[in-house]
Amino acid sequence: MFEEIRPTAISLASKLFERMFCLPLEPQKMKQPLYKSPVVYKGEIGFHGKNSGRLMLYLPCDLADIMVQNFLDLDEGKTKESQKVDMINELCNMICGNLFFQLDQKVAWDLTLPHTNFVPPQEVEKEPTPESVAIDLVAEGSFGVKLVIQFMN
Amino acid sequence: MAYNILIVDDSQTMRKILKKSFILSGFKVGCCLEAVNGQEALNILNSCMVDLILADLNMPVMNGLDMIKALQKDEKHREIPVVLVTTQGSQPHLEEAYALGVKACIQKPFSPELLRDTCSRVVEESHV
Repeated sequence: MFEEIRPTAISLASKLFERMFCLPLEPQKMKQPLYKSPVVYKGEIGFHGKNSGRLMLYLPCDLADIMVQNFLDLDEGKTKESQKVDMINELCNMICGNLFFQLDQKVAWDLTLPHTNFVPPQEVEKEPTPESVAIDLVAEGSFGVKLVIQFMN
Repeated sequence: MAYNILIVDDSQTMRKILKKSFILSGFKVGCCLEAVNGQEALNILNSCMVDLILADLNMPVMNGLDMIKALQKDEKHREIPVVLVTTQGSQPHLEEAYALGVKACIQKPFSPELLRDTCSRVVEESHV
């Protein structure tokens, strides 16, 4: 599953960003720190099925603002914190649910309730564990997005 | 004909998207009620009649499947058609949902057209 998960996750996340937020999302060509803000959002959701683990999504605050504006048709400066948290939770839910559905439709994948909080950018740069798939992406050409799928034994 | 709808989803964003999608697709909604979990939906149904319920699966307090099980036990509400709107569309989940009487399942993200076509079919079939 480790080999399959990376291309499927990239393709799925790109499609969701395009469809939901009208934003292009692609893999980072060069590893570079793109998290300029003092804190970033971390969305997290657990999954249980053939494998168990958690999916984590890191997004800079500025990008979350644009995503909510585009998703809910709001003007700049009109977004609320609760809307950003809710949108990231829903995005984690959609990425995780659709990802495991695409990988194996015959398995019942149960998801936990997603939650989102702030973390320092240093957490995003941490090296992934051997049981993890870490994917560095870039949205709208300049906003770093990181997707980590961590499996538990 | 306009239909009264109950949207059951813990995400305020998703409830807004569903309402917006109904408007964009041309599906005629009369009264649109909202609940943040299955228990709140059951409470609302004690005082309001709806033609269709749209429910997520993964919610706090009472999830979508438990809500449907409770509806099935209630003579007054068991005929209300339920459409699941969820990311958890795997075969075992769908089989369980359909066995409980769910009429259709829409996988998130969805287009307004898919929402309209699915809901139109379900409410028409339930009125036959």
